[in-house]
Amino acid sequence: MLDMRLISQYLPEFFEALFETLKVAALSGVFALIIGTVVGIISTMKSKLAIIPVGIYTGFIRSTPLLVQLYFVHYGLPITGIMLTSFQSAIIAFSLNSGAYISEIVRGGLASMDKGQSEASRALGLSWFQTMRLIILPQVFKKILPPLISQFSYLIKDTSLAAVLVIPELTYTARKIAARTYMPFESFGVPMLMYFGIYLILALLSRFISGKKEPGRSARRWFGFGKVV
Amino acid sequence: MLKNIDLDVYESDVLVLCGPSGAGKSTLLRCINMLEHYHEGTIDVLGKDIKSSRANLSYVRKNSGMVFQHFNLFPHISVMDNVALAPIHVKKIPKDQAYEKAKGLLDQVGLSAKYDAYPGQLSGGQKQRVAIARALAMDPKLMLFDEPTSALDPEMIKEVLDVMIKLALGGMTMIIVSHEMGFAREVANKIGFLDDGKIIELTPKNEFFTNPRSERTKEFLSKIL
Repeated sequence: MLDMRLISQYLPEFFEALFETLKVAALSGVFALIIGTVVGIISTMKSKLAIIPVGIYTGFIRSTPLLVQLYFVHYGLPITGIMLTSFQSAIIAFSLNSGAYISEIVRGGLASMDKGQSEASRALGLSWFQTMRLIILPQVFKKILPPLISQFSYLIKDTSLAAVLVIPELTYTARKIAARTYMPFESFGVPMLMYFGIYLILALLSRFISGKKEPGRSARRWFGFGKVV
Repeated sequence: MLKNIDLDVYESDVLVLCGPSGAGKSTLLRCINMLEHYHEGTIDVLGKDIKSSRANLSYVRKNSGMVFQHFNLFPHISVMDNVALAPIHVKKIPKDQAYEKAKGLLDQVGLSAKYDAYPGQLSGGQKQRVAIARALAMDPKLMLFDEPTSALDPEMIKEVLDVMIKLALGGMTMIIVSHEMGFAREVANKIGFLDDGKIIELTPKNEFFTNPRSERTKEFLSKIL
């Protein structure tokens, strides 16, 4: 019933598409992490001037569908004169979307930090920025690594929406191959297994990291933060 | 919360602040490096008014060390890194020099065997000694101790006090919030008694124990001694 010949014939194309999926996810993930960290830090500040725009951003992103955000960036923004390729649109939409969720994770992580850590840093004469970079963020990232990884695995699944912008990622390619071969079971089954495979790897990674007892080591290994030596 | 505080501390003074909880001892101490903001009055530390400019505050923080009740060591880096971090990043001292110095300080507080340990692997007394070494690494002219032994198991108090006694004998200027009256008796040259945000009594050590001026102090001493 399963047409193995067909699968093996199209496997290289699937892998190319998988690579495209990972490229979109990785790029968006990096930008989202930057956005999420900055926004997360801002959202812990006391000034209303800082909190209100941040609240509007996260609230708006989280209460609207990602697909509409994707359409809006790609088809809506050109009216304001911003012309984007589909790849650029996808990266922007995914980064902004994931960034909003990550900012909530970062905010939670920051809120859970013991105040004594920043007090000790200030008492030693470290600047606010040094305190964040050397003391607070390395500990926060270690703590929030598991939720960050699961956020990243949502992001990977979300990139399937990029198919509507004709980006040759996994879902778009699957649709194309299905249309070409009239074999939807295989055409969609293979990508499904591939998505699942990535998810599994991330889930194992998350478990491996959160199982680590040694303080700080893993956060430093993964993010390179907190290096003093 | 603090009222009418008028306090002078001179070089090589060892001032112990005592009094009931909620008296404002820690608040007063934390005002000295502005971990706590104050609304009125001025605090000059090392000749600088800490509220008048950021530069003054940062000068004072760089040149004073603080030891906390709950140690506040950085748990994600090794003991050595804890001690060397501020000299490297604040004083911009070359790393090898900073680590040499950190080793020396850790030896001084009796932790030669723990260079590469993480704070989580240490006992409370060891943590507090690392915290003292970390503060000393900045070559402070003034050391602030905020109940340094209150969170320790009784048998670990001595190892921390011993380090502090050595420091005091070495001429370090120290302000200490502590309930350890035996320690105060041994090393302090001045004792301040606070209650309800006010300094009730500030006297040389001997007078404080033998001839307290205020009734409130007498009452306090009769309960704890």
